[in-house]
Amino acid sequence: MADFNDDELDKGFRRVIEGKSIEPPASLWADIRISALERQLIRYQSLTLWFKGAIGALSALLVGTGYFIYQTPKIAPLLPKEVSVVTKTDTVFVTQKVYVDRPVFVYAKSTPPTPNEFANNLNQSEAANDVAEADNNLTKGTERDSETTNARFRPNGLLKNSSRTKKDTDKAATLSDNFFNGLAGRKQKQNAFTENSNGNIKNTNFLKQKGEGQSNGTIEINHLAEENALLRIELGSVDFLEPMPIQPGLTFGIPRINFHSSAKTAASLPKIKVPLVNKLSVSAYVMPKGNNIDVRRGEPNAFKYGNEELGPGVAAGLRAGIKLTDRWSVLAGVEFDVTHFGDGNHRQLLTAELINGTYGYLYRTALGTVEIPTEKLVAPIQVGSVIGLEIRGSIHRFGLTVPLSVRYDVWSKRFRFLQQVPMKVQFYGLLSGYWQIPLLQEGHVEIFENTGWQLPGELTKFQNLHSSFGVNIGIGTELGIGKRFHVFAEPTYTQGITSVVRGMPLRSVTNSFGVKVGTKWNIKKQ
Amino acid sequence: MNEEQRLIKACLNGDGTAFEAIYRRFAAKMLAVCHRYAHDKDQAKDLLQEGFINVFESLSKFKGEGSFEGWIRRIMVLTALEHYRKNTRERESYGGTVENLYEEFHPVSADDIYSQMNFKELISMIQELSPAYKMVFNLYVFEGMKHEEIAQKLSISVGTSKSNLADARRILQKKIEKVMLDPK
Repeated sequence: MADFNDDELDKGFRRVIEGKSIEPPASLWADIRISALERQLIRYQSLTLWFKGAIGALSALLVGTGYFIYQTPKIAPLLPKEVSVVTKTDTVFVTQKVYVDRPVFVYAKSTPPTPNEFANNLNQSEAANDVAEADNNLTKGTERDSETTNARFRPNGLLKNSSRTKKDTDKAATLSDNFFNGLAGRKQKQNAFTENSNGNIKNTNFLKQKGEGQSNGTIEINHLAEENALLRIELGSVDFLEPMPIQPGLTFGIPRINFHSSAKTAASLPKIKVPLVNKLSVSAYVMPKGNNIDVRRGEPNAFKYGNEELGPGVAAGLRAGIKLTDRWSVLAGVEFDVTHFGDGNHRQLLTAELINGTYGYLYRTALGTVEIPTEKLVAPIQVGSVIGLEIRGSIHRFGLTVPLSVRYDVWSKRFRFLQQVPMKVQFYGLLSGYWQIPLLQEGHVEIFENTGWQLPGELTKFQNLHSSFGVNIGIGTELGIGKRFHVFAEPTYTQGITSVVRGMPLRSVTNSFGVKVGTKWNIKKQ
Repeated sequence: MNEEQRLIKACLNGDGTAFEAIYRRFAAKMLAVCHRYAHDKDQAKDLLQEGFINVFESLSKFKGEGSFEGWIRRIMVLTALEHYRKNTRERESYGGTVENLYEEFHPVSADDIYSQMNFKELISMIQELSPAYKMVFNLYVFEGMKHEEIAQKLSISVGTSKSNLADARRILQKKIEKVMLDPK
């Protein structure tokens, strides 16, 4: 194989080609200009979109921050770190039961006297006493007791002191005192009462008390003492069985309180159930609104579609609301809206093109495409055929919107109008998402053929329409008149998120601003 | 301030006529450049259109170092390179005939080429090369790039770049020889 000289080949190419020119076609500059403009427009739209996104995010951030600031309780000035202040507030409700464990009182039996002593006593006493005598004896006995110890209580009619000698009495008292001194060392502080019933002693020394307390630190004991044990004592031995005396100077005290609360927080408190119907309301409104459309053209083909502008429209809706809390509510309903659009250029030329295998005319708008009705056209439709199209008025769009909103009541005040009619003013905010379904899009046109023939037509079968999603944000003021009826006004901004058309080389996103004016009816009086 | 600087300044001030003036001044030369990188006339026009938009968008970056024409030409080449990178499918589906590159050649001199071949014929020969050969040949012969630089720009190895260049030369040599031997 003979080799060839690389450099010679390269040089030859350079000498022939370099520096040469080829005159471009005349239309190329126009194409460059259009292409540059389209690119600028796409870039501008992207920039605008980002800008809107940034504004939206910033607004959401501001609203969120404002809300949290509003919700956060006022914080006391900071204290130095060395000082630790803990404030705790517990709320305990009246219905809570408080169980109090109290010390057990134990009966003790004093040592019985010897049979001689007992016989001596009996001999010096009368065998039977009537009640009146017993009362006297009690009086005497009380006097006697007061001489020895004030802390002693004797049952009525058990002792006949009048016949007792001072010595015997003192002896018996000494025995009792010894016993009770022993008891005193056990720090039992308890009142006791006895009752005399037909010569028996009913004793309630063994007590368990129940009571109800309140959280503010005071405890009320309901004297529901139960007599868990009744001690019946034979008459012969009652002289030596005595309940614990009430000791002067000792106050009623509770050694220890065990507090058991089954509800430590308010969260577990029994909720007051409000019937659902009391929370329901229905509203009806109308909303005149101004509309706008953002057309985002991402590729050159998108510029084949019109540059329509949405005109003002009106929406009317019904919605139902349910109160979740004092401030939060959820609202849902349906809204019917009508808008119209046009491109300002009412006359245009359409060239025949192949549509599903046959030639026809396609009117392309940023809000859908529609085939021009050709049944009444006189001239045959073929490649290169042209018709003129004039839009009469605007093209109307009808849609159904399903909004779902949350409402937050910021401020409210009740008052009476002329001191009679109860009224309520409220300010609130609303945040919603919506789903919009296109129902119908129609318009009237005049079609001009190049034969001079002119005929009217209706555009109804718009294609590429699609349901879309969006959000709206609003504030509102509501005036309640009476217990049920309200009127309200809500300035609302609506921003579409998804395109209202599909299957086209562009995205058309709508936005609007309007004021809802309507009435609300609470199902139940409030 | 020369004419080019005045036009650039006017463009930066948004003067539409200045853009057109720049286009009119350099479009023909740049279209010849684009023809070398394209496989036909239409693609060359597309490259020129895209290249000029890139030029207008990058005008503020021109520092005045070197000639303005050279700067525009570099942007055109970069546009062609970008197009080459994006159109992977076009490269893979290239249906050029595989010729016997190792037949014997009759060496031709630069003078022979210059005297016997015209611009249109040589451009057509280059356009008929496969996209990979065409790109390496153009970058090496006309843009004066080294194999290392070409390899980096085309994301290929240096060996592939050298091999592609050698193959492109053999193909062109054969085509020239054929034309010279059979002028009809």
